[in-house]
Amino acid sequence: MEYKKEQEMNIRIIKIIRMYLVLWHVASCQNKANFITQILIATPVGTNFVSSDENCDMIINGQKYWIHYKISYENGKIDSFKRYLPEGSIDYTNEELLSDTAIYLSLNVPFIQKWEISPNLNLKTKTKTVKLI
Amino acid sequence: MDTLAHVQPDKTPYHFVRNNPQNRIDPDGALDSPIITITKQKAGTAYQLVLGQSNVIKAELYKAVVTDTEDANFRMEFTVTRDAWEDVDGDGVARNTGFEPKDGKKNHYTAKEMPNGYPNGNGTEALKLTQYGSEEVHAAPNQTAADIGSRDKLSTAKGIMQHVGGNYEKGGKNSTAASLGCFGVCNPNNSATNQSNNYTNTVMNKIQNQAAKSTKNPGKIEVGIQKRTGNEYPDNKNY
Repeated sequence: MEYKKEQEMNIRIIKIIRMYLVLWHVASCQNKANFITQILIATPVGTNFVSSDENCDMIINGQKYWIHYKISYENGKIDSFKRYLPEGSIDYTNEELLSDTAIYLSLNVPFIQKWEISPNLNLKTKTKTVKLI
Repeated sequence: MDTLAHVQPDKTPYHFVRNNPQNRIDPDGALDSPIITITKQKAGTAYQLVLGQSNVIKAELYKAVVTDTEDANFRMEFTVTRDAWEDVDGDGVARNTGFEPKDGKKNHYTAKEMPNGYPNGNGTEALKLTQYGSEEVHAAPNQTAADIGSRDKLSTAKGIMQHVGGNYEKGGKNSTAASLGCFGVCNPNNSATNQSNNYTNTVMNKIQNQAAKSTKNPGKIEVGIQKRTGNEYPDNKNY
């Protein structure tokens, strides 16, 4: 009797693992098929961080982030490129980005990127890069 | 030898006043155009917002001098903030992410007028610093600025502006300027009732008008920044 219960439990576990594998596969296929629409570059801050109207903040898994750049894409091309500063944001035009590629290249923003929050190892600092699909 | 030879490759490093001593002067070795020299000479204080908190801090004002090698009679002075105070972790200690030039040789910038001023919507003129055609400029390393993400490289900075500072009017309300490394143009005796908007526009318009008069480089504005060293650059401050 106990052996049967154990078997049923094992089957359930296998089913759950399979379901996760299918979901993961579907999600990764979707990531490959779709262009990203927005990239946010932000740093983690303490909960008492006070944002200005322009330095809008966001919270992911309880961690508050301070947004520095917001880049929006339309069909894989940059639609808007905005830098947030204490008193207001600055919108870069495509002409500015083309004439001063240091603005864009030094951020190392890819066109197609999965959602991730990862430490930027090149900087050797506490800086985190937040990229959203 | 001309220490600014690298920004005027059409001239020999040994030339003087473009080989025209009859019509030109060169009191300080600057280029042909109005040059804003942001000095390290203190000239009072003004309030500045601590970035990341709602508190203000008393920030030093520094003297800036504008001269023009094409016009020996032109000289004006104004005051700016140079420091950028932040307390992202909220420990009550403000850290300085203020912009300092990398060294004496890379201490020369061209100012680009910002078409909409800055901040957007409050009608104040602003300039952005560029170097070798790019707004990414050499800067003294600032680990704090890199740590909080206001810089993505330790020894370069981007989007360094000269814009309104101290108490200023925005959207009909009084605001206190913060900074991520910009220079805040601020009137002496600045307060919530003596805001810096008009002062900033007066200063900027005079510089722009002077630049427009140039026969050699109409509209061009140069910027030199005296580098603060050692204790001249405050690393942190309790507030």
